[in-house]
Amino acid sequence: MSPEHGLADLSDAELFAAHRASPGDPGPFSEVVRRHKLQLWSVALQVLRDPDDASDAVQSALLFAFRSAHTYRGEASVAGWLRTIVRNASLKLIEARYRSGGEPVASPTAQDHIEAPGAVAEVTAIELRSVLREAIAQLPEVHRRAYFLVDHAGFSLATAAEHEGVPIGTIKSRLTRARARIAEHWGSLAREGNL
Amino acid sequence: MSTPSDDENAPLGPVSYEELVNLRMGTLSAEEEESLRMQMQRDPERVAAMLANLDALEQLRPPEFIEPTEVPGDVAARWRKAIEDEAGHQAPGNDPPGAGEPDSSA
Repeated sequence: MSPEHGLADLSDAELFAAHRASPGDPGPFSEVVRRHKLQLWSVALQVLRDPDDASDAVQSALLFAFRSAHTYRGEASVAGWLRTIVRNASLKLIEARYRSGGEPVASPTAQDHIEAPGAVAEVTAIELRSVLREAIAQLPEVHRRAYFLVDHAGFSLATAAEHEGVPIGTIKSRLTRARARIAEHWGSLAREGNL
Repeated sequence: MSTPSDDENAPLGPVSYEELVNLRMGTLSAEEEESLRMQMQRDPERVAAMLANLDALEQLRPPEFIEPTEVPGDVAARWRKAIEDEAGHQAPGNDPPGAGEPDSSA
């Protein structure tokens, strides 16, 4: 995406205003994307860990942003607004895969086997992911989001809190409950001999 | 969490996963941690199994993320094409397709 003639001197907010005035012209919006595409790509990759999924998520987010530019109020930077949309699109993609029962995107690790002494001697990663998916599906949405942001995407507690618009303590609490619920689910299956 | 008791035989509830996660996250006060460790000593086998379950879950966490340095050319081209197509839909005389995908609310 090369700089559009005459658009490179405009601020992001000015480009958005130009886009709103003339949505049939892809130039202003494309210039915004050209400036911030690497950030957006990075956000999607961090959440999804898979280039194909990240590409889909960013594209979906960009189209949403293109159509919804009139809802941008200028309270956050354009880049920040776009990052939030991309992050939400990425989380929705993960959640949709979990809910549909398909293989979760971005297998968390490449390990084939996970050694775990105690109730669970050794299980395959596939079994573990299956249990994980089942347990995650049962979490309240806010707990699920905290889990995805921190334990799946690897965001810091501070970044996750900023994204969710809540204090760090709230994210910690949601994460604790999510991890505990998942471990409980895991433990109960192990006790029943289903693992 | 209740304060620790001086009586070792005082009834203590079973250790919960939530308490163990809090212990690992370092969010317990010194008093709470002491009380929890007393509880853990009452049923070491069960607690060991619970900790093993938490270990297994922790191993599922992704490795450290490495920032990309560029967007692949074919990916950027695909986005550009999608934007151009969308602009074509929104040009005067064309009906824009409905929105309804990701939202910007956090």
